[in-house]
Amino acid sequence: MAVEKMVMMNIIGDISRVDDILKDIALSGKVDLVSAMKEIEENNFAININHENLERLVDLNDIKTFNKDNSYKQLIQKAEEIKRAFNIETHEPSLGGPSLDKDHIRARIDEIYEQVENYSEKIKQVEKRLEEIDKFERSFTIPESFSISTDDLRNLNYFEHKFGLLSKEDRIRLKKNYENILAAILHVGTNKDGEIYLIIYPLLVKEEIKRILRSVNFKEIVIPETYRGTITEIKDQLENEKQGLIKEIEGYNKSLEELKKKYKDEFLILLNQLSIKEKIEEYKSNLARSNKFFYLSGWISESDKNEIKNILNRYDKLLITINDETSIKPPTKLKNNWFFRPFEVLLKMYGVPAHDELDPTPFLSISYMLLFGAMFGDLGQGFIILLGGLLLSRKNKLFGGLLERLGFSSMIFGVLYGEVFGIEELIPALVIKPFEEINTVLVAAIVVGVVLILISYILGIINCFKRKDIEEGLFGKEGLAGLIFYICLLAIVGGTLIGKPIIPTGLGIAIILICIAGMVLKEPLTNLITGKRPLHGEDVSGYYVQSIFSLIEVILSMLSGTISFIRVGAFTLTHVGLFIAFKTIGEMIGTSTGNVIVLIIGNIVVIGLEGLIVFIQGLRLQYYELFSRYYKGDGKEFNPISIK
Amino acid sequence: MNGQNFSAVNTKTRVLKSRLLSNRDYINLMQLDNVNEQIDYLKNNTVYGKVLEDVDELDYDIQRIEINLKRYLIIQMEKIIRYFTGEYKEFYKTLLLRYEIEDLKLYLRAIERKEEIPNVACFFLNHSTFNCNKLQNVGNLGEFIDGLKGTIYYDILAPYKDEEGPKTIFYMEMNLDRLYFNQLKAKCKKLRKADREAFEYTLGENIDLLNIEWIYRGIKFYNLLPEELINYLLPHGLEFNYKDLKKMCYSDIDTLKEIVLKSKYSFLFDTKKDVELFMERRIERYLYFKFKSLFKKGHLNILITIAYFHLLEFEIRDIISMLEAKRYGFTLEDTINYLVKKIEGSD
Repeated sequence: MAVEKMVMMNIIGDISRVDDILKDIALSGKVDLVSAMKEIEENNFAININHENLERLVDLNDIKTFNKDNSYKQLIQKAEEIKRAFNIETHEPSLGGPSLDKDHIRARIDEIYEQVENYSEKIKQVEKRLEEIDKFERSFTIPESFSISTDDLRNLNYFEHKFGLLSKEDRIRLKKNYENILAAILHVGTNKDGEIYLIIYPLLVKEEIKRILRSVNFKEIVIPETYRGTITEIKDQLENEKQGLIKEIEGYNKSLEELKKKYKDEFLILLNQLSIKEKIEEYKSNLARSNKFFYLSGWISESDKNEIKNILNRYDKLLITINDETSIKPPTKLKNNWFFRPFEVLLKMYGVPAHDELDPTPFLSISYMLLFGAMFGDLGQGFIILLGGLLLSRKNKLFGGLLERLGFSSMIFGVLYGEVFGIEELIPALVIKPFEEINTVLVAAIVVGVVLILISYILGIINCFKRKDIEEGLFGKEGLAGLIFYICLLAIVGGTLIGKPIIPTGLGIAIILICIAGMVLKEPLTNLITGKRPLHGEDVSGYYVQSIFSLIEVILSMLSGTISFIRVGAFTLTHVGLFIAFKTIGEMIGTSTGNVIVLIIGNIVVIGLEGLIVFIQGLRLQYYELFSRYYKGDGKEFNPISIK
Repeated sequence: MNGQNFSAVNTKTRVLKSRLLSNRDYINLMQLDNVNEQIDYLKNNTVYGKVLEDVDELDYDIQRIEINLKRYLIIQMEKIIRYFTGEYKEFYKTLLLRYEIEDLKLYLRAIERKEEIPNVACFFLNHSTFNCNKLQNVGNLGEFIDGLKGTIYYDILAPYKDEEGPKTIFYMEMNLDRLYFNQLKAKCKKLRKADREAFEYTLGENIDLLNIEWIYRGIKFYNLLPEELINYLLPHGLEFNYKDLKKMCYSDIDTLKEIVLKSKYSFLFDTKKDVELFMERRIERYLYFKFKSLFKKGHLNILITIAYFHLLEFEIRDIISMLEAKRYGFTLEDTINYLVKKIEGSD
């Protein structure tokens, strides 16, 4: 558990080996790169000065970043096209395999690409032609009953003809003036844009008719010269051409298929190498270079230190320095055992712990399972959630794992409450039947809440001391002063409730007042202890106004935060209550099948709806009542480079 | 307002109308020495001052002034539109579509001449149906028309997407004009009966006059085929039915004159002065007096606002005419002949 200690690793090496070294580092998956340029600028690139290192240091003077090698982009585009032509699904780059030279990859990909492109280009052309035919067929929808051959029309010596579309309005315009128009206008068909007309007119008045047609927005449908004969014949002709084109495509596809057979294995290797190389190229942007050397900086966890050194051992002339203290905030690598790991999902939704903070995952895991189980205690329904989690973990391992654990917790509480699928009569309760002892349940919820809050206080104080933050740790409202305040408050309130004072009221109030004074005066007090002067910051009156107001907030949040836990009890009861409602409906239906159906529906609703609500309410308690007391979560996640 | 109550909007319109220029303003403008003085006069002594404020003295340019004056008209009409809802609002917006269509025509002409698309228009801002900025960056006619997708203009312009040649613009403009009148007709159908009939009457007269002008010019200057003349006539005229119009299209100039002289539009040819030169002005002056008397009668219907719209339009046209006339060095006596508004001395 907890947060692993991170150290900064700086490497200076021969620039000719940079690709191999980066590849090895990426394969190890244990290094989180940071900008080497920045490290150098901030003088964190610590190197011992001795004779051997002198050259490396001198070279630091004309340092620059790596220029991105854009030639990969083009290659990758080509590879993508080949992939499309070969119909290969996207694939994950795999590790290992022989390392190939860049020029070799380029040559091979170019060769394959040329062959593939030859066919895919042809396929594109044929498809374009097919589309043209389709478009023509869609617009030229004249029924086959129109028996005049287009050849006959074309062969007329003194007449010309046109097919085309006219709107209804324009058609009427023409009709009204028909006696003055020297053309025969025949309706021959309909397509989706309008009515198709055939216009036949003497060659002599060709220009006039064209102008007239223009003025009525006549849209001509041109029949290509190559289409001959009657409508039926044209249609056959088109059909034949289409068949031929489709066959042609099939032929090309077959050739592509053969190419695929021939090249697929090689291509996959090439592609794999290519994507690895491109990834490495990407990572290079974090590195710096001089004329002879490259400079690399990255975080590693302290425990991986030796392993990485071993990996890099096979390169000579490599200067590795490892540095625990740098001015950059290290990233956080969480380390938890299998049981707690799924709960990291919930934690990361809030924030990643900073490197000097306790990892709250174990406490979060246990308390969250406790709260969820208590609110949703049911042996059967918990089992369903457990099964759901098992199913889901195939796709989403972490979230599935989370559901499994929650389901399991629910089952345990189901046994304690004696509930199976909402039915209370099946098994005896080991501890309590919630609905029979409502008050006990509610009080127990608050007690659980108080315990959790107390633990939060302690964790918060530990965090403050880890950060060496005396001000918050001792006098903060989440620090020692806050804790004592809270305990006294509980003692007084609790004493009044049970009618028997736990501590003398006067003493309690006195302690509370001291705590309040500590919280109000936290800044001057801290400065007094640490010996810093002046005692106050710049705005003295502003500081007091602020601290007094925040005091009011403290008292309110202590009370409301504690009462807030009553919801755990309330949802325990809701869970039972909701099911009683379904049972009543089931009984009202009367028939036993109806009854069973209602109970099944009831269970689905309860698991779906109430399960979700309880999930959210539990999370709310964690985030607002507990995290706010001890957890900041402003860290950055450790994100090692890898090939995938 | 559901069209029942015109008292408020008509009062507002009367206030707006009272701000139109007086005869004195016209004469003052014409008597000034040069165009710059005229523009200064407009800036300092008339309601147009506000829209001319941002025109810098250094770039006084009549085209620029015209754009700003038209913007004034749009601002006034938007004030009026605010009084209406529903079908009435739609109707007034349609009335203003003409300015959008004029913009479109300017664009089309610029594209045809391969000029930069002018930054002239786009003053129909609040109700624009297309995105001016987008259209200003297109390279050719096809892209321009594609940019109009989703507007009422797309369907009628789409067939010309791939066309070339000088006549294309002519066909597109004819279609746009027809679209405007069809839209007006369609929108006014949804008004209350009294308003619809009142508007259809004025629209009908307007269409008659435009048709006569079209046929006259088509025969005399453009040598169009009678069939083409017919096909581009505007429908829904008032005085002439299809048969009359057809007869007019198939006749020569003299017969056409005879027919018109027998109708209520005889004033077009019943003159000793130049027929062609003043034809458009005669039409406008005829309508000007019509609208003026409608305004005076002041019925509680949409005609007051329609009349104001046209009166303001004519006034803006006059202002531009006066500026242009000054530029070309016309005398006052010459200038008044070209104005829509009748100033003593012109017919």
